[in-house]
Amino acid sequence: MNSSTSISFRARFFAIAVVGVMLGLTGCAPGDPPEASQTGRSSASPSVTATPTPTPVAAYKPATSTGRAENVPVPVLPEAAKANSKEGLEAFARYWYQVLSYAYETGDLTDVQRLSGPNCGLCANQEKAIAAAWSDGKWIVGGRIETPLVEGKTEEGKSSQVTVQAIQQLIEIRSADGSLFQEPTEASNMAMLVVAAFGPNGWTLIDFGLVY
Amino acid sequence: MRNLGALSVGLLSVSLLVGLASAAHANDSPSPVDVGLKRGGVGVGSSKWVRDPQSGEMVPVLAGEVSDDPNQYKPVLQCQVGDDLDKKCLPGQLQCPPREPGGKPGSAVIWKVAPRALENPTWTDWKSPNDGPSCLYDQKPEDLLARLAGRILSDFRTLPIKPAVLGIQPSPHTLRGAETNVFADAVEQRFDVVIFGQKVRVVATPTDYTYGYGDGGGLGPTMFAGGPLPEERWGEQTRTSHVYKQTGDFQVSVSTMFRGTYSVNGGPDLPIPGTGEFASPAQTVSVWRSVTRNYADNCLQNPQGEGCPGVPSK
Repeated sequence: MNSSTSISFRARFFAIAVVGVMLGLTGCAPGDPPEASQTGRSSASPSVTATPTPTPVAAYKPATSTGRAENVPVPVLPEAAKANSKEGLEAFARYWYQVLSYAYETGDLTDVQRLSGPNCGLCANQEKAIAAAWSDGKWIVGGRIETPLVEGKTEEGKSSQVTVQAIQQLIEIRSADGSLFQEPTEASNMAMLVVAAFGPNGWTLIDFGLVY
Repeated sequence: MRNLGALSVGLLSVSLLVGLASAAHANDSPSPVDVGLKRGGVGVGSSKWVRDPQSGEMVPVLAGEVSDDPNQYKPVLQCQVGDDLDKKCLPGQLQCPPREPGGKPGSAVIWKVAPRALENPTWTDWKSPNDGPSCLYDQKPEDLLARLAGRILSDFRTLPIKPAVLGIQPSPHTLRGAETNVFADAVEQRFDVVIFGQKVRVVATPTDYTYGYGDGGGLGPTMFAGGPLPEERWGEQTRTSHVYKQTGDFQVSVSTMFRGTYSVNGGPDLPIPGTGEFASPAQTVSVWRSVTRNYADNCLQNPQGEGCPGVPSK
């Protein structure tokens, strides 16, 4: 894990800068940078660590009515999210929403499936909806999720809970020919609860859902 | 059940929320995708949570029971008059044309939305379903919404809200010692009214019922409206049924508590702070006693026997 997280900081910061510029990120609170590698899922190579030269970074390009998102940064589990603490729990919750956001933008459900607990109804429902939205050559425009507020609570002997404010952009599903597949889903601003447990392999997601 | 009701401030049927899912696109061959975190969150099978006001803990809401709108709203006037009487306007000019020729233009309002459950949340722009700006038409738009909020409850209580339709099974005659099923059927209702010159849409939703059985017995307030039973199941106990111990005529009544929301000139549905209670007309039920007699013959063997067709009862 160290190999991928120690990719040159210059590259990382350049990547963040690019993402920031491209999106005009607004919900990016200080101390809450999107933890992401720019290398792409398949090309993460340990050899990068040897020479910290900035790898050429393909610029992130959000999806439009004419094409899919390009070079979406793959979320990387931050070091902080490995600790059995309130801070670790909060970092893990942030990471979970980045993974979900990534799935909306790319249709790649690998990490969502890896993290989803077997009894998480909303996880299953999100997997299904994202898969359907990306089927038959369709793609999603928008759908990015930001988490401006993440407040964890750990208690001995209880499952840990994180209250999260999740803001999701408007979602358009585009058909293979670029036409709008259905009416867009409006942007949403929600309070959510993430339930997680810490085990030998770090934090695992048990469930998450809307708070009323 | 009252505990749950207290927790979530009041409960609405989940179908209202599920109903938010938008209709399929005109291209109707492929089925629409219920996509999005919020749509999934309100969907069946997703866990839902409320904060217990006593302990402050997040507790799951049981399946089928979902509280009302999880959002809070905040109006921001597009143009504010500062202390120096200068008008300061936010960027993005929304226009509020006069409502009638020669009238005064209105003041645009930008509604902000955020989840109710969070302290110091990030507010986002609320989007009107009709895409138009929300406008206020008043000399003093600054405090118009506060004035409206101050009187909306008393206006709500005087609306011609249809109370529940009262049902009794069996009726008008029932039996002493048997379960008599009493139930209420109330529906959500919409009203378009004008308050302080603004078009206000009020939605009244039934939440709780108080039953009076007329013999001194009663039930509620309870969230259970009860419901009709098929005739072959009359006499079964229901959540709202009653056993009369005496014979006689009794006045059965139900009073329905409604909660409401109001929307000003197409703005978001704001909660009305309080409830209104609306009584249904009482119905008379006659409670009879039953007598059981056993006979050795059936009506074929003894067509003149008591209780056989055509034989006058004694």
